[in-house]
Amino acid sequence: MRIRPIATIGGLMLAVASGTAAAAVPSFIARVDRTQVGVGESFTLEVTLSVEGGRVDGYRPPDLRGMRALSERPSQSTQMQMGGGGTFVRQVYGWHYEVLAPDRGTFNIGPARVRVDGQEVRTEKIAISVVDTGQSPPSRRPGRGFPQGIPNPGLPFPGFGVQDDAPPTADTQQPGRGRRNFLRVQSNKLKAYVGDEIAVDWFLYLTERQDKYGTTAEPRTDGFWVEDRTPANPHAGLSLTEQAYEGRNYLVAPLMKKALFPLHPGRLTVSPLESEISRVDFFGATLRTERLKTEPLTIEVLPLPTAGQPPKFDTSAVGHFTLRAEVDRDRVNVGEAVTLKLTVSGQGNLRKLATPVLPRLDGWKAYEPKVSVTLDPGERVTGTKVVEYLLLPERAGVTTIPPFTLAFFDPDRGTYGSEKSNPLRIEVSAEGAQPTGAHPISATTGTITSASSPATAGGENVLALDIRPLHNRPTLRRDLGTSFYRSRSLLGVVVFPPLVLALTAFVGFVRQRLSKETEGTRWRKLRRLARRRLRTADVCLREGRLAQAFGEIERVLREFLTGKLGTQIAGLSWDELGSTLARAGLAPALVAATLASLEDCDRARFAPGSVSVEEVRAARDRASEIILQIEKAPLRPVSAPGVRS
Amino acid sequence: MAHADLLDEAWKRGNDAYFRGDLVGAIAAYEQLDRQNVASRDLYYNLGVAHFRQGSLGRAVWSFERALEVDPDDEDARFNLAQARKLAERRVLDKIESAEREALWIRVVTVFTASTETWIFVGLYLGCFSLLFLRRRAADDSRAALTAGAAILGTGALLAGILLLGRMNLDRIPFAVVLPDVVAVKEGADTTYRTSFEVHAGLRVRLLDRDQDWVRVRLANGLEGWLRAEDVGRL
Repeated sequence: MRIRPIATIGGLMLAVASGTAAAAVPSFIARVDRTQVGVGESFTLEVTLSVEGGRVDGYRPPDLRGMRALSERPSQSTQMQMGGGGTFVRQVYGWHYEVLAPDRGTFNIGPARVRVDGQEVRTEKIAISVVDTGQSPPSRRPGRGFPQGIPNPGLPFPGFGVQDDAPPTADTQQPGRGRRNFLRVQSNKLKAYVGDEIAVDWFLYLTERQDKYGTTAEPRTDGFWVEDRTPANPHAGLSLTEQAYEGRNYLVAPLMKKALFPLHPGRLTVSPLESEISRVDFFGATLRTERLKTEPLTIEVLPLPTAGQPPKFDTSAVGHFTLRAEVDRDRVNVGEAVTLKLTVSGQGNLRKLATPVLPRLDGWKAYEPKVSVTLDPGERVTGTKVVEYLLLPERAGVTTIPPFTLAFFDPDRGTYGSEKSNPLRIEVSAEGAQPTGAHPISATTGTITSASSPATAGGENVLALDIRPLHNRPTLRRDLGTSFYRSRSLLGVVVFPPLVLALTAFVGFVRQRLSKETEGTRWRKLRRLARRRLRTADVCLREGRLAQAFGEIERVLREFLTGKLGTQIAGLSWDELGSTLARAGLAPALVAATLASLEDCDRARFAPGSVSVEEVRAARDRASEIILQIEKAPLRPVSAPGVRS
Repeated sequence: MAHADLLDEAWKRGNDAYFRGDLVGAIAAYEQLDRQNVASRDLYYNLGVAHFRQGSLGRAVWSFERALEVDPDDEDARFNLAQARKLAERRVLDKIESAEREALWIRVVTVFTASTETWIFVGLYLGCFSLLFLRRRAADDSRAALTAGAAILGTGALLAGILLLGRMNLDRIPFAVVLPDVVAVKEGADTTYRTSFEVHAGLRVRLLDRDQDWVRVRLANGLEGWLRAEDVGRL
């Protein structure tokens, strides 16, 4: 079958390419990426013309003879070279074909022809051997270029590698007929053991460049321990390469790469990756958006075989591992630290892998270990896990750390294996014979007890550069004293007690003041009492109890006089009372009126039938008048006869 | 969630991040606690360990110093502070000539920790006032004994209070630690001033003055100059 002439683009290109200077010897080469292919597989044929000036026309593609061209694409570029006394400009024309070999046998690709300044040049014939599928050599990995190692000056997009693509081990994408954009997920296995590594890649296949790409839904990986293996992309945007897939050319971008470790048996599914691609115009407005989605990826996870499985087997220990144990020194003094280092190297889920546990060592104090994992870049998850224990001997003697054992399952062989380290012997001497460069550490406190500065010590102790481990307590221990010192509560504690004490003293003072009787309070009290007695007398008067009314009037007079004189007058005769009132400075008329009023009351009490209502009312009014006058009269304090003042 | 639970949650988050190797996350969690004025030697200690692992020796020294301020008997913090200082000195040694000892009053007020001084003062002070209260209600014959007791406790509270006031005064004249690996000390509070000398991570300086984003510092030997405030961690 002959290649259809590329009339439009090729003709235009050749018409543009013309020169007046004498052409140098042109280079016209045809080459393939491999000379042996499987039936139904495709290979790449490149025809390149490199010429310094000159008119180029009349290109005739090579005769494929029994093979079929799946795609064809011309290109043109200009190379400038300075030096040797001038500048040389070289035009490079390229024709790129994707060729399918449908039948078994040997095929010759005929020469391509072109005219340079009227002179025809042609390429060499190329023989292609088409064999049954499976016998053909493995296809190239992305980015490796042509097997011949010839530079490819005629590539259509500088920086791109032209590649074909190996059939995926497990490919869920069905792009279907026709060339279109799609997402593809590729897994290196669809059936795996629990804990086994599964490499999964997601790719974007484009028929043409797009302006925007965005992931709208990340794949969910429930049931897997995931290590992200996506290589760092130093450039913004997608990293596109040109690849052939199912006989068609695509611009392919790797989107992400993950290593999945199944955590339990069963059918586990990785949900689809969903993305959007779009084209925008010069002003940034979206012209067209297309939503893409992979198929879900289902992995059948097998349980680890029970036959031969070690007890308490860690299901993360699936892969290939080696184990090494070492101490930084095997002769120390009491109180000097030793670092025990366990190193697990190999392929598998190193981050989750449970490392062997240090048994309790009698006479030693072991600090919390420091764990670090370093993973290597590459297709598979390989690397190293290091566990460092800081050990402090507390007494002299010889200690042998027993060997550490790491059991693992080899998924390739389907069997269990184990790695065992050597036993480690450490000799601990009593304090005193300190080796050079060692840092003495207190056996009781575990601290450096002397200023063995590295600058002054004879040797360099690696341990000296390290520090004590983190305090990993379950809860945060707070220093209440310092918090209290920094808070305002301290001011409250300082202010509150004296404040309360002062308040208590003030309240006591007020109460004392209130309880003390003064002249004024005594008078107020007397007045209140007098008013109350007189009101009682009025009540008795209204109710017709005249004797009682007189009794109240007498009581009010006597109580008032007692209060006014400051001495008891009960039991005094009329004369004694009269003399007492006179001595107190009461006017004689008032004394007489007082005595008369008291006598009236006395009489009325003992002869109640002889008094009338009017008499009682008059006696009450007199008593009120007498009280008013006595209140206004300035009296001297006196003592009643027979009463000591 | 209670305040204490929130603190514990941040503490656990920091520790988990550290063991995952996420030092930035661990430091962020610890600093979140620090911003809430949580005084904890474990917090400062872990912050120091995380800074040390990250290679920030100045901040590691600063954090270990703060842990020792809370608890001077914390052997781990003392050990790590010594290690961090040694490593910082290996990088470069700030040779402080004719460094003076700290003033007597500073040495006196820092004999005890702030926590110890606080508890002593509060105990004596409250005891004194308790006796005074009791005295008010006590019978006449026991008042003399209560008065004497209150006087003794009051004198003790006064002395402890003086120590505490001294410490508060010291806090107002703070010390700090240089945080970057190396930083130029300027003659004035601006980058345009001439460089007087250089100091390095972990060096303890005294803060004398502040002018916007700059602080005036004094070294142990009396040298003075200006640094950006962000380049020192206040103790």
